[in-house]
Amino acid sequence: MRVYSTLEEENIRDRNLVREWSASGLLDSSQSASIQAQLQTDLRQTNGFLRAVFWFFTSLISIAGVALSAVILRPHEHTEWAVIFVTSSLACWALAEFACRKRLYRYGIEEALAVISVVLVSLGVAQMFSGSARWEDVAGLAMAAIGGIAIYYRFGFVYAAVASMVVSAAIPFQLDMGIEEKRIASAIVFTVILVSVRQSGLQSDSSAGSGLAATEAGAWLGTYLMLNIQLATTLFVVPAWFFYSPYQSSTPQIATWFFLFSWAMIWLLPAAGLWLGLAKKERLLIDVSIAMTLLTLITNKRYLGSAAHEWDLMILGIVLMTAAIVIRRWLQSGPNGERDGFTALRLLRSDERKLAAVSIASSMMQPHASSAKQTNTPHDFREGGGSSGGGGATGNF
Amino acid sequence: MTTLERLENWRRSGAIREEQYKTISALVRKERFSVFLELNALLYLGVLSFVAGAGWTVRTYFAHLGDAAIVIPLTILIGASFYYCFSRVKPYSNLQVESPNLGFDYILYLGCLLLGVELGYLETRLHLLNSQWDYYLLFSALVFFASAYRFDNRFVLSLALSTLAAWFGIKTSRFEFFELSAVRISAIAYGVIVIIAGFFLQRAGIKKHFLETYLHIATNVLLAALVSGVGEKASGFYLPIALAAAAITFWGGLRYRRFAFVAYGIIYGYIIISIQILSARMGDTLILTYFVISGAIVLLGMILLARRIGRTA
Repeated sequence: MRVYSTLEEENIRDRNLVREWSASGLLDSSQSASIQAQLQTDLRQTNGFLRAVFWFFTSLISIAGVALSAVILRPHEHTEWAVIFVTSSLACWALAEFACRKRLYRYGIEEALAVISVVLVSLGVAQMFSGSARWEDVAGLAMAAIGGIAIYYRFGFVYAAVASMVVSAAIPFQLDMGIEEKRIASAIVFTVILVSVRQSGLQSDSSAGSGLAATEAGAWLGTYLMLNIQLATTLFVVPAWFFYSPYQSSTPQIATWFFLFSWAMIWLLPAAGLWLGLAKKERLLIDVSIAMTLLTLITNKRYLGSAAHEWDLMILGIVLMTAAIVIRRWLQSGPNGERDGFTALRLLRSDERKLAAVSIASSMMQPHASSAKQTNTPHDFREGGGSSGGGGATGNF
Repeated sequence: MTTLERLENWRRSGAIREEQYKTISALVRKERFSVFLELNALLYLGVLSFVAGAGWTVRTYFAHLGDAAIVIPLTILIGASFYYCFSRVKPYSNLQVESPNLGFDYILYLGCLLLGVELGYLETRLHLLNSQWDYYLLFSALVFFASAYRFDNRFVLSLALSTLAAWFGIKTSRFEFFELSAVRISAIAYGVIVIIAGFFLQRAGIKKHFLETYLHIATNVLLAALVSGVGEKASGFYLPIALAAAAITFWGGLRYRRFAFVAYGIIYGYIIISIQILSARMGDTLILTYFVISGAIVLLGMILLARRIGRTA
């Protein structure tokens, strides 16, 4: 049973929408004020930044508190550790419930307490199974998955449901199986969740805060990531054995059938996701499908065994820019600048705020070397001027 | 009750007008669906990918291709980008100016990034400024600032600020406190200058909407530099300044209801105080007790603060 009533969730959902419509000029301020007055709840909310700070400090206190208990009690046996973790977990859960009774809603405090409670109980369960290294991990992950679902059903935190799904999919990687079986088992976990979410048919306007769209998008992405076997080595310098079982003695080889299956799936999954997303106008699914398409374009050469060239990124850039411009022109050439309801125009103010946030964040990705590190005139030309957000006008950038 | 049912109720009760109901309900039913953000994301990623590829290609092949084969195409692309922007730009205004089209901002961004690539290449090959090569950074920053203001482009403004930071010797991509100590004075100078410039331009009424970009970047650089100073042995000088800076950031955020700055003030302030207290020799029990008690104090203070300000943003 949820700690918040459906009416409260609906009121908060609609109050946020009214604020957004007002900021976008669709409602005037007096209308917005009078409607918001009808949507009042006694729940206490806070600003997003303060919520993050509440999250941080609650986590800090909880973790330091558990560590302090361990320092004072000095446990030696696994069972003693398990008792400390499980007791602390219960205390955190009780405090999270208490915070909700005090009508905190997405305040950071109750969220951190609930999440840490699940982390602690998972550690406790893992300690109980510490006799077998393999089952210790499996039991801990299984408990974390159950805990994530419990948080979702009790408190409604969508990210807990997504995390639970990811943790469930990590369990096969702890088992003594071949690479293909592990990846397929993990992908099956994501797919089962995906199918059940779609089958539930609850992604309607009425299910306030259900977060099923986010879970579905996460399941699509998870399935894709499990089946794209070239991703890790393309994007990161990750050794081949990194994702594989610690119980295997040598670096495993990918079977041909799985290689071909994987290659087919990295094209089919984004296409299917995009088609479904566009058909139902589900933004998260559309965005995730675009991301999957980009990853497919980046990794496809590896599947084909072709050599990567320096100019591949330029070609990708041209493809992306051209796609954006062609889609915009096509949409704008439709009646009223729309086609099937899709428009390239900005309809809500929040879109502009998101772009402003990205523009500020882009300054964090400074590609050029700072002048302080350069004592001599550089003689070695190095790229970097485009990874993002920097002028690159150094001799060594 | 669904949002649509509520909209219907508000229409019936006269809380919203008929045309408002039609517009909003079309959005709720997803009869109108904007892909504005997705198209922007594609353009942004496209520009980054293209410039990264251009830089990589130039680095790998400059010895084989020759200077002309690199400089001429880059110059043509930069020229074409700026020509496009100047030919379509709306008249300058101190107020926010809407871009003529979706791709406009990104074409300017592309031109600016490619300018950075070309200047870096020219300096590497020709050594025109030799040991003074870093003035290329200053020149680039000035060009980017001018472009950001002329074309009202926040991406280019961020580029200008990060390029200026590089000229000051700061790497904004990573706030590494220990590395920052080597350029602390420069970082503090950068932070102060950027904050003053931001406020000056805002008070002069020039692109007021740019102020937050200035403040976010400069505040983080300034506070990180001061925190790195507090961590050193002779921190008597930096401690009061760092605390004052964190307090001012907190107060300013509260005063102008910009809660990101409230968060900066709290987090940096906590780090400053924690560094000072934990620099004394303590056992594990005392350190953990400190975190529990200090965290609880901050949490209680914030709860009281949040009650006072209510749910605004």
